[in-house]
Amino acid sequence: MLSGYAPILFFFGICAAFAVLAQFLNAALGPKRPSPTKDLPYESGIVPRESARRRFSVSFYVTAMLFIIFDVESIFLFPWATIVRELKVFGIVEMGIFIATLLVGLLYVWRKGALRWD
Amino acid sequence: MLIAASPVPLTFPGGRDLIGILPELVLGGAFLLLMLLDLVIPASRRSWLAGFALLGIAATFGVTIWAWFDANPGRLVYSGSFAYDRFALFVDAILLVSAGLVVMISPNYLNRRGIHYGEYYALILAATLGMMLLAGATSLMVIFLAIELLSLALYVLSGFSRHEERSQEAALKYLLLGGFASGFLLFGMALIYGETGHTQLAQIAAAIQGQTTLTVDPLLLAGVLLLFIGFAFKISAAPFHSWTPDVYQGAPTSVTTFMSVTTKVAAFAALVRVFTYTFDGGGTHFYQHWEPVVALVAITSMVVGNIAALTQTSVKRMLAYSGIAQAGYILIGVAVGPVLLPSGQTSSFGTIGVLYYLAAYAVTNIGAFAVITIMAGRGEDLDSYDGLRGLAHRRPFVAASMALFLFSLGGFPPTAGFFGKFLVFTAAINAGQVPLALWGIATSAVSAFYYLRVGLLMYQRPAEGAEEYRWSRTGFSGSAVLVATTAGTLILGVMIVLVYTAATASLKGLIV
Amino acid sequence: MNVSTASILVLLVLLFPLAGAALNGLLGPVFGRRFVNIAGTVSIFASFLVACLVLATVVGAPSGHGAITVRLWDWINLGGGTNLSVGMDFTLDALSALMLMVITGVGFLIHVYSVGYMEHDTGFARFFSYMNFFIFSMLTLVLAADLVILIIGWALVALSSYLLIGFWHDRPTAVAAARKAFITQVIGDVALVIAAFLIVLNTHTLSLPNIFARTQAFPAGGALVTGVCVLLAIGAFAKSAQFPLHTWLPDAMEGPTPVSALIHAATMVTAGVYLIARFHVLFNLAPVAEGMVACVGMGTAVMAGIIALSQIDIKRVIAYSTMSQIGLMIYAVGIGAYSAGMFHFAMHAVFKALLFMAAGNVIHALHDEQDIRLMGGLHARMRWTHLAFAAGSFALGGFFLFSGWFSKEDLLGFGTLSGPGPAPWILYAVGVGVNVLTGLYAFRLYFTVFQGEPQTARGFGVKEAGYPMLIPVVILGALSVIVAWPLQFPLPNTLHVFSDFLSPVFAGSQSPLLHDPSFGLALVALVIGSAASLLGIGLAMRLWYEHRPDPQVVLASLPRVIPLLSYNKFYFDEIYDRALVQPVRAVARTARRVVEPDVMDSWVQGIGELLRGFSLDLRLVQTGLIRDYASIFTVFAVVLVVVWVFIAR
Repeated sequence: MLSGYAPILFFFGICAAFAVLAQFLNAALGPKRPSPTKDLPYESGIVPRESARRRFSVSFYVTAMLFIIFDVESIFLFPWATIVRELKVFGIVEMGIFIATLLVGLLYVWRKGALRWD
Repeated sequence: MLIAASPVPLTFPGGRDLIGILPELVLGGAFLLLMLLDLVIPASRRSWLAGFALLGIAATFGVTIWAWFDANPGRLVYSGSFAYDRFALFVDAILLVSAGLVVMISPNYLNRRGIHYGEYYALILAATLGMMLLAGATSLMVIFLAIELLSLALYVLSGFSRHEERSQEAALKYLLLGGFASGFLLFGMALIYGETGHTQLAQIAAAIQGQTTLTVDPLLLAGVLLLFIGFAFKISAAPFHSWTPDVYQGAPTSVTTFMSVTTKVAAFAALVRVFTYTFDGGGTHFYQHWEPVVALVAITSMVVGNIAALTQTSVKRMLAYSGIAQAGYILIGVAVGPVLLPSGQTSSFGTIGVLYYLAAYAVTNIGAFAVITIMAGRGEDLDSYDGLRGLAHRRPFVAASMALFLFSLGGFPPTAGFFGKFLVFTAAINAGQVPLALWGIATSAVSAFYYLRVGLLMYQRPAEGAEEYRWSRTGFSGSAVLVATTAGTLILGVMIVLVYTAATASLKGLIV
Repeated sequence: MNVSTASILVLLVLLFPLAGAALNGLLGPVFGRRFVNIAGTVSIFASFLVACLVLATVVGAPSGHGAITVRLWDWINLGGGTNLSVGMDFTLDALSALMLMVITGVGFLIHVYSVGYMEHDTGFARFFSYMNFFIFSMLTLVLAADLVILIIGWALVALSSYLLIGFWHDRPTAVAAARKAFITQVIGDVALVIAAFLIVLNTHTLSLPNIFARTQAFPAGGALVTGVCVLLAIGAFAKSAQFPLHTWLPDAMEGPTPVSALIHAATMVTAGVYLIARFHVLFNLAPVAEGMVACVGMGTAVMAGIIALSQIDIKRVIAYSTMSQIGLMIYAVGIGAYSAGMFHFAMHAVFKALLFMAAGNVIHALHDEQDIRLMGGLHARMRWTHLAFAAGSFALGGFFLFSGWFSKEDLLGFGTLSGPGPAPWILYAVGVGVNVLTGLYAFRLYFTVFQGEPQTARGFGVKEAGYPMLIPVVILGALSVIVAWPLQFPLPNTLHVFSDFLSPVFAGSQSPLLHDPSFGLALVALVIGSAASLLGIGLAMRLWYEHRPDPQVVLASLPRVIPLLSYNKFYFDEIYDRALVQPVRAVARTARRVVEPDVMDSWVQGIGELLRGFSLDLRLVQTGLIRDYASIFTVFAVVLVVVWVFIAR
């Protein structure tokens, strides 16, 4: 029974070995000629003016998270769309309820001020 | 034992499916409505939300009662992924009553602690919804989704006291460890799926019964055990309990009240459905392969929970450990659930014990935590042992009902807790698992120590010159909850036929 | 009476005292004395009213239909092949109706009395809570129609007795007395429980009516039924303070006087009589056990009577007289004269509660003086108490036409039975002797306390008790004169209201020992018995009123052993102390000195320490760090799965 999994185990082994090997090979083979300019953070060619570890507005995170939530939920529309004809009215109603539920969420974040930027 | 072993054909859901999840639909609707109401109701009127939440719970409860009579016999809906049966409805009823009681004690408490936000009630409803789904889930996928739904709501609720570090810490611990445990749960599910090729419980059961070889597939067994470990985390059974004391103590007390009871109830319902009734393996006696592990975890929980509770000095923490121990006692019922009698029939005595114990634990534990919740002072929880000293002299009724709850938790007759223990121990003895019952009895004796210690503290005079705790007024809703839980604890103790009959009926209707 | 009426009556009669206990215990300290006084007494009075209704319905029922057993609800009914079924079953019949009347009626008067008695005690709420709870327990016991309920009532009665004897828990003697009583009770409980096991094993039911209907499980006269009955009797002896389990009762006088009146005279100590009467169906199958019960009863009656003659504590004198009178009742139910035994129980409850409460008045008036040598001459200063006490003494002494005369002569009349051999006649002769003794000690007490001259300066300044303490005493005093008149006359074929009332309960059961005496025989017995009582009373008058001859002189003329035995209560406490307590203590001491440091420390104390240690160790694991928790989780999960799946299995 277990022997069926042997290729997978083999595969895991190769992956792990490669990952470890790559780390070492990189360090061993790569040329190292460090200079201050090379150590600068890359900011599209602009010389950085301050530390990269500055604080960001929390609104970035909130907006990003909200985007991802609604973005992910919308994925459900795609499989639904492929069989909506067969589902007929039932499918339309179901998806209506689904979207309405999302709408409540949207209304909620809106009213709570999560979308405001200041 | 197993009904509906033939695969359910995949069909488009229809009206009958909707009826099958009617209680959940009503509660879900109430949840959405509550979210919207929170947006329009001014902050000073937040207590109204508690009223609306209670209405929603009451409506759902009404539908559940109706469904109890409708679901006879029960059926599987949504292509076999959800059971519309009396078993789920019985558990739903326990969950809804618990949620209702918690909602009743919440507004005063939240106001005093200064954390009265509208989301609270919506989250309670969402968690309850998840639990109800878990109680009826007959597909690994639905089980997982339900657990995630209830867990996410509880993560937020544990951190509800936003300005208190302890609460934040509790939420973070619960979230991280909960996610961790979900990993085990999911891995177990993946292995089971991999070995049986199914996610619906009925088909998994058929696949297990179909195994004619004498040796059991180790990966399947590993999957079953990992699934159990995932559940063991949810019911806070040792040694997967380490989050429990910290989270119970850190979370706002009303939330602790809620999750200490309802999570266990829902998770145990799923445990019974999945383990006792799906993994029993019918004629192949598959249960023999996981039963010792469940028994082992049960014993560990009883020992660890009771012994650790001995030296606690905070009531919340003591009750957390007591909850771990209680999980152990209930697990006895799961471990001895599918007993093959010499007559060839299967005895469901242990499972009835589980259901009875859950009902008893729900009323008792809500009562005990409600006392702490109701009496909490402004801005902080007063849950140290010293704070309880002398309670009987100022609040005779509250102290008397607290004493009753402690008696019940300790398993003294004639309270609810006694018969919970009585039934599971009897089941263990009937099943020939006498050592399991002996462990239970021995650890119960240990538990009497710390329960009675708290009970005695309340009846001592406050120490001379000690600072008097400023207990809050009990209030109308608090009194109502205490009266209800006290009555429940007594009724389950002296009229056991009432719930026993319902539990038996619900078990008869259980389908997989 | 239909089932639903009966259920409501049973519920009400039980609920009132229980509610009273809960209210007094929980709210008493808050609402204060007035509330407690009202709640405490009204609850019992309400229960008394319901008991009257019960009596009326039982009396009104057509003959033979007065008994009804109601199942309020199933307590446990597991079905599923376990056969375990315990119902909240209660029986209403003549026997339980009689018990209800006495318990609630006398109980109510004693509660009223307690209002006065506890006037200056700060523990009044606790006291009334316990008292109400005792009434509830006692009612549960006498109503029970299921072995489990019966045992629960039996144990609750012992518990409340323990609480009440030790009510003044800052007195070491009271605590010791409470403990002694409780330990003795537990011996009886164990016997009762073993008897119950034997019964259940053989009849497969817990319900009393079913047990009594399945007597075919017990071969008549066999070892099984004899064993069961002896065990039941041991339970009864412990509760009723009969030899050899009697030593707790005098010590129990450490409790407040109303407690002595209610529990240790009127109700609890007669529970043994009730138990034997209730299980008469079984006892009738075991003549050996019956004979044993009769002998023990009569023996206790004589022994306690002799002891009562020389005691100097007023309450202890009455306690020994109680023991002696209960001995007579036990004798009666032993020989199968059930209704006579119950009749004496009812009469005794009235006049003995009266004597205790009157004694309480005296003690109160003399500022807690209990030594009768320091009393005397109270008749003029406490007129009503004196009158009531005199009535009670006449009743106790069995003076013609006082209530005690009716019941005692009725009881002894059955003693003239023509049973096998000479033993019944010997017992009867001893019973006549007990009559003499009773007259002697009853009136020794009366004359010493109320007649003559006060023996201390305080005795001149005593005042009559207040109304709450006086009215119950006077009511009971009047009752102890007249209550028996309409009920029973101790001759066959005369007035027999009482025994006719009880006869359905005992119908169809005939003790093999008992035959109805003929009229002539009964008349002769009546004359002899009455004469014996008069002799005792007359002697007492000569000795302690006229002092001709002086009691001291008489005492000196007796062989020294008799007064010594009497004064020292036959050395039972000493014997038990030497034979049981001291050896156990010695073993314990040796154990502590020799065994404990090496073995016991690591066991008894050790277990506690060990658990504590474990507990503290477990706290170390609870670091509060998520990484530790996750590690523990993973390690255990992996070990569990790997070990179980791949190694252990």
